Amino acid sequence: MVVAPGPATPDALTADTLVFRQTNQWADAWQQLKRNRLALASTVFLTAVTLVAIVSVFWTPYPVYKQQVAGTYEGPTVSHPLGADQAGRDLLSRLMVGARISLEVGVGTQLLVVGFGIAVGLVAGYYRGWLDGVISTLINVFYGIPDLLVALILVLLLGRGLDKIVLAIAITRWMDMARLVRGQTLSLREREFVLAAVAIGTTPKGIILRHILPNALGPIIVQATFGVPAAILFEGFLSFLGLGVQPPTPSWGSMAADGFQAIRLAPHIVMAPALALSLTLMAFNFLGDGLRDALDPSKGAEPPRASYGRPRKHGTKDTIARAGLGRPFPRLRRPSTTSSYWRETSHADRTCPGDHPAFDPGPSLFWGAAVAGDWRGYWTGLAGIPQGRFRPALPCAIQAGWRSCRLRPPARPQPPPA
Amino acid sequence: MLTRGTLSYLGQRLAFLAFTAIAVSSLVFLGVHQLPGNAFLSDRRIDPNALAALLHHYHLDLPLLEQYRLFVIGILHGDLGESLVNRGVKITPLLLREATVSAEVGAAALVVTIGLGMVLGVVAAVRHNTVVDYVATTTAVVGFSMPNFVIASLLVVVFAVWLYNTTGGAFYYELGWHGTHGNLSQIPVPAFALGFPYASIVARLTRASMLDVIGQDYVRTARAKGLPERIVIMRHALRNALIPVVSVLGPLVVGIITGSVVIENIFGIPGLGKEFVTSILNRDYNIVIGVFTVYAVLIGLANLLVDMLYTAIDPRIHY
Repeated sequence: MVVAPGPATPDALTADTLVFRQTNQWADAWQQLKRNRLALASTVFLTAVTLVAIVSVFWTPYPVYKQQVAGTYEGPTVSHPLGADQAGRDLLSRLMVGARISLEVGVGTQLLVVGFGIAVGLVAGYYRGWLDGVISTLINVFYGIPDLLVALILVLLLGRGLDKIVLAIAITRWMDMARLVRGQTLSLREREFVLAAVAIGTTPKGIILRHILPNALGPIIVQATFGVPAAILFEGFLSFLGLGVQPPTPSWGSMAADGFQAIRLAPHIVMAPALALSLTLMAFNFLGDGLRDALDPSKGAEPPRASYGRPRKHGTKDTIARAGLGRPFPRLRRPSTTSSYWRETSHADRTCPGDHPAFDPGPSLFWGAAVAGDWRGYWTGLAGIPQGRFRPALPCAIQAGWRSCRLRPPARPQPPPA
Repeated sequence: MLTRGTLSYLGQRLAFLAFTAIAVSSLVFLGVHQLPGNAFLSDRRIDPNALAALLHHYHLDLPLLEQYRLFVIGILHGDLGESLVNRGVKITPLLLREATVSAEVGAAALVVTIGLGMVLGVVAAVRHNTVVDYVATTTAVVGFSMPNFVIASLLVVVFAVWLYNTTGGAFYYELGWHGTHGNLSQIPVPAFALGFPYASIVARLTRASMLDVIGQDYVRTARAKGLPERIVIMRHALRNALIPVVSVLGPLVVGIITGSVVIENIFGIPGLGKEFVTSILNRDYNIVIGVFTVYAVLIGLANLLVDMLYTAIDPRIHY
């Protein structure tokens, strides 16, 4: 336990000073998230999209709804960076408003889903009994019906406003959240701290709100992050089919549908909203992956293992070639975490061809990679694999790949001198 | 392995399936009858006598409960009624014909999903933490994040527009559908667009469960026996890694059915999905109800098939 440097008087060492440096779950998660470059990049991208969406309320480069007959199907130019659509409306301006619609649908749906799912899940998981039976059956029934088709019917029933669409999507997609919260509650209510709370006479309401809900919050946030892109995708489907947001309002799905009509003449009209939609969904998914690794360690991340996959031979062409692909400079930043697993076997216990001077490639052809940073780390990062967990801080691992490292065989007993 | 237990389980499931189909179509029937407007609304004035005759022909002048009774009797006889827009067109044979078209594309999409997904997943797991793995994983994440209509648009731009322009019209993908059963060359592109997003889900799952299985003791034993790596992976690892993959096949089939609504509209394939959207836009509510019923049956059958597949893959499970 690190104690904060405080005033030297002994009575300053109170609970407050200890708490000051004490790390909590959220600070831990934030540290872990910061290490995941892909999640961080996604956060930046999503912040930018949000800013654009907010800006579009007050200002867009061109009027969003006004038709310009002279400029129909115009390709990208300096004044219209993304070109114009079939009615001559500036695509960039419409894309900006579309971002707002998408985010409103995604976040609005998740607010409804989170509220309803938490309420239903907590009640079912905590009180169990017949109520749980009813709710679980309902969840299973909703899983059995195709959600898009039900949403289509609901949109017809409720009307085509944005709020109606949000409601329709929420009605067809609340089950994941409810099931998750129910499962979490079921497991949390058996824990000792809940027993302790019951013992000191906390009311059920207090237990649910003060003890169970805060502890289930991590998986809930992860689930909600994955729910936002699903809802956006859903709205895209509905709009693409012509049953989503009403036509003059630009939504990415309906813009793609409009553009699809003219795909031979002006492919840029369909490509712009399609790319925007894909990138946003991808960013949300990467962020969700990162959050899951940070907040919900039981899922997703694989346990470290002594060797992965197909065993490789040592010192083959393969190993040597990859030794050349390694990092020419030593790592400047100390790798952040070393789990207890890696601490158990020290560097000296391992042997590896990469450690031998004969395998040191010297200044390699990959200076460019050196400038750009860690190659292998770059690709691992792209693949969404958290850094530091799979790549222990062994020089040979950095040079020749972790797989080339094997535990050094125990020293053979020497024959006694004759 | 058709034991008496399996047969009685099968019977129970089929009975439940019939119940679900009737329940779903009843819900949709009641819901659809609350919808504003009907298929006979038009800009032109319509003779009140003709309208009354039309309503009478479709039993729309009867009280709702009476209509519902006729509807359930019809379903039990396999009769889904008559199209409201195209008068005289019986819905059951229409939907059956369109279901075969959808099934062709859907089956091809399923092949893409399972084939591509498993190959990507197995390769990524076997070459764990190599460039191959990163490429496969990245492909999976990208595929998972792209809506299928975006993939479809990209495919159309490449295969229909770009290929047409570069080959001078000699070789390109043609949108649409030839004849009743289509042209074999017209299936792969929509099947890929339909199957690829789900292929990435299968790939992720296969990779995770393969990594889990490869570390197990019996795989080490198989290697220690000196079996070829191919046999170890295909026979010892993959077969056990498949069990969690089979469990997503049910949702996968639902996803492919849902996705086909979009894909069939994009590629102009005259299947159930296209009929569904067309009938919604035409307010042809009889067909909407019919398509829903067919979908409920299809999804129920798919789930049943998946559960039966479990026993084939994992002999420890039986019913």
